[in-house]
Amino acid sequence: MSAPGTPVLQVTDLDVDIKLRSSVVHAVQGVSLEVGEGETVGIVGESGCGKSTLGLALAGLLPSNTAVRGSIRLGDREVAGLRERDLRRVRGTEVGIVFQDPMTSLNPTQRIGVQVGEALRVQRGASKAEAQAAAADMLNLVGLPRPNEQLDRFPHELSGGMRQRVVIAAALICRPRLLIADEPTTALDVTTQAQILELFGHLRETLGMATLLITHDMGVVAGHADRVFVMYAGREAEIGRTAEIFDTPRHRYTAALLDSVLRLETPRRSELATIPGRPPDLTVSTAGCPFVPRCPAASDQCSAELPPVSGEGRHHWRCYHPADQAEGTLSAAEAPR
Amino acid sequence: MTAHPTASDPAAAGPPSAGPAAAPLLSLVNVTKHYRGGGVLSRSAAPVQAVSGVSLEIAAGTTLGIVGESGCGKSTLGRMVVGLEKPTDGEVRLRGAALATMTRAERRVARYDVQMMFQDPYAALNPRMTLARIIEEPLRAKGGMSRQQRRTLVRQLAGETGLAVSQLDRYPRELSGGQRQRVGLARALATSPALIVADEPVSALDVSVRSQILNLMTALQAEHQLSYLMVSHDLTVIHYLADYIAVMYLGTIVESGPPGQIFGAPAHHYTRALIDAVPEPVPGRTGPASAIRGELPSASAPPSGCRFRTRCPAATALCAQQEPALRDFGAGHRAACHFPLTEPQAEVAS
Repeated sequence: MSAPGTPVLQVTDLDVDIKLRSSVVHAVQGVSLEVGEGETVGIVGESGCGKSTLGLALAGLLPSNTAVRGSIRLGDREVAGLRERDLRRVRGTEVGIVFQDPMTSLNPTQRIGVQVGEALRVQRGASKAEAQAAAADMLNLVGLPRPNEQLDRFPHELSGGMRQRVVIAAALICRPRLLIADEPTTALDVTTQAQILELFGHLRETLGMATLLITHDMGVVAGHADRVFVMYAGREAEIGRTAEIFDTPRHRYTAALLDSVLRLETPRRSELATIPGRPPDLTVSTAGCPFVPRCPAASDQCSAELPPVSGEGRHHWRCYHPADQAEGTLSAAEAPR
Repeated sequence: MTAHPTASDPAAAGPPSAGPAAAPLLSLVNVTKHYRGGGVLSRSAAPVQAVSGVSLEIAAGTTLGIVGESGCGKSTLGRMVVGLEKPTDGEVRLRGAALATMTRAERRVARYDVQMMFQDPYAALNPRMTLARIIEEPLRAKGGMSRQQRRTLVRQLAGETGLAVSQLDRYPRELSGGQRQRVGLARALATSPALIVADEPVSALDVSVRSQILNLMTALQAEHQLSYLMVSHDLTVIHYLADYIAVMYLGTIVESGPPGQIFGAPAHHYTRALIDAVPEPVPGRTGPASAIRGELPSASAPPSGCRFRTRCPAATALCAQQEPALRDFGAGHRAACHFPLTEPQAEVAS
């Protein structure tokens, strides 16, 4: 383990059920995950695979129609099952959260200085002047020009990229040990995205927080995550160091996902690899591997029983027919059906 | 600023008015769109210069890709091509005929010749209509077909776009994003258009589904000799599909050319920065530190001279004084920069 001492975050056998009127969505099923100090773990998968629900569960932001089982430890403290009042304290001080759309995270009627400094006032009882001073420091750290002037401005006066910097400043004002960033650059332009991703790297070096980077963009995790957690149908498909995941993916889903990424090197107008079908309906429980209906290598065993976790070192996958280690992708000969 | 054409005819330079005998399918001649500035309270504000003097051409059966960041005017340009917006100045010509001077009957024909596909298929599809009805809608509006003929055609379109006939009685909410985009394509194809304007058609989709839609668009283009005007912020998508690419910045075209030139030897610093900012799925590669800093300036008060100069790593005093002319870099490649990254061949006469 690269993490010295206790991991910042330790999730064990986490289930999240979302209760709807006539059904239950098993959004997260049996997820275990560790994140060490200063480490960035990318969480990837298609929409509907449970990445965002996992992020909300870890942030303690799930709505009331959800049920959580399993353990979430922040440092040496169990936070699963905490009451709302205690959760709020954890949220404000130990976990920072950044969402996709900065405009929905910010209050349009409040000045930026107040919003960035709020957690310090509420959680640490800082005075107004202290909070403002800390907010200005934080805005400077996230790269807002002339931070003291920005304190009195409103969110609508800033561009999308600057707003996202403000959200990041607010999330980090109490120096949390864990930052959860859910698609933090998806709504931004490419050049702004590059700037914000650079900022995350810089902040990690300066503040040393652990980061969970939730994204659908394999390009974003490739450049910015130490390890990658691939989710499918609410479950772990594969986890490993970023280079292992990209160079020698073992789960068929990981391999298929990587194959379908469009790159600048992709030959123009060539037939693109796709993943047939779509992610399964998570209201229906299945016995076997959830990827079976879309998997080129699925066998009877795959449908009968969920593959156990297998792996080497810190590289783990749940697959009975892992992709060839050398090729990383499926060779036609080994597909049993 | 001058026009530029297509991969099929990359050597044809010069303004479109002096163009070859066969008019291109679509030409934009010095198209400009200004919006009245400010909100309801600021009637005196400077106009927003969404598009300023853009000239482009699309040949039949080819794809023109327009790439740029939000606020660069690319979507406004697309909307003017389908007639959802009228240019403040300049002309949109379909097969050589200006849309603005067409008779009513001609405009009706033109409307069915150019169709649109949107980014968010959910917002673009009427939630109260079945898929069959959605795809049939433009045919009913166009007229001239019996109910039976329309039904047959709808089934055929569903087949072509990979929708099951059994799905035609369903409603948009029952579909996935990819299937909705297939419906969007089927509807756009219904009137047998020559050109489809696709504004970010795959941006909202997951990677696997994105590949399916791009495969489908490529196949349909070959089959129907379709032209696409593809508007996107995503360089990988533009690179994959476009025969000719125009890079827009603050309402103007800063560089245009075939994909080989644009990606292989970009001349404009903005194009270079866009390419460098693409997050590549290669572990550990974070790309060069982004060369461009700061924010997009306001479109109601664009910088003097070169509009990109406030963010350009190579800008000098000259860039503030003089707007760079579009220069020829060979093989249909043009760029407007005083200090280009590659050597121009000559000044383009305008």
